[in-house]
Amino acid sequence: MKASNVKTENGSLVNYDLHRMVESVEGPSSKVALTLAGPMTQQEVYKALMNVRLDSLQDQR
Amino acid sequence: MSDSIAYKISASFNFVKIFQSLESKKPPTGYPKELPDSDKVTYFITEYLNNGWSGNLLGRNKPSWDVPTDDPEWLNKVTYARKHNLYHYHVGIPTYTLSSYGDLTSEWIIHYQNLGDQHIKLVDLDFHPPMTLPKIALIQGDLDLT
Repeated sequence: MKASNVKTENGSLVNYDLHRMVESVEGPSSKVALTLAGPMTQQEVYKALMNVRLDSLQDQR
Repeated sequence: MSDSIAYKISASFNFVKIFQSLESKKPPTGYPKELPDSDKVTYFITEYLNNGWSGNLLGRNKPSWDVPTDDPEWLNKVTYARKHNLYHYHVGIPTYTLSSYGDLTSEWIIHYQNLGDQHIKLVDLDFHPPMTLPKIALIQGDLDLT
């Protein structure tokens, strides 16, 4: 399914690829990798995201 | 900072994979005064965790079912976005532009699900307006939209 590209009333372009969205919301990689609770610093957030092992998703399958 | 409210952000593997590929040292090409892309995302997350939507998040934030009526996939998009409570936030990558409505928009947006008053789940980071990005290796499956 191709993305559409449509002008809104305020002139900005609104688009999202619905197929990509469905995969992002319901596909295998939509599983929660981590949950953060505030408050946190930017550096703490960065480290938390970078420390996620992406191969752990495959381990869960 | 809001003392009594505990905000939470979850992130999907898809979102984390994209985040880990972002530039974290240099400004985006052509925008030497801008912060690196990953700083824009961590600022968004940090600000939400600390203050929710009542802090200093200045980018446009809107429901993803607000689809132009002449979009050929209007009904599917509206139905899907409502069903999953989908929103998107203009994160400022590569830079912000002041819209005619007085808010800030950018080419890159974060797609998220609103899971409650104080909890969102980040699901995607995408170009907006469209540029069809290569499918990420982790994303698999052939989902039927009907």
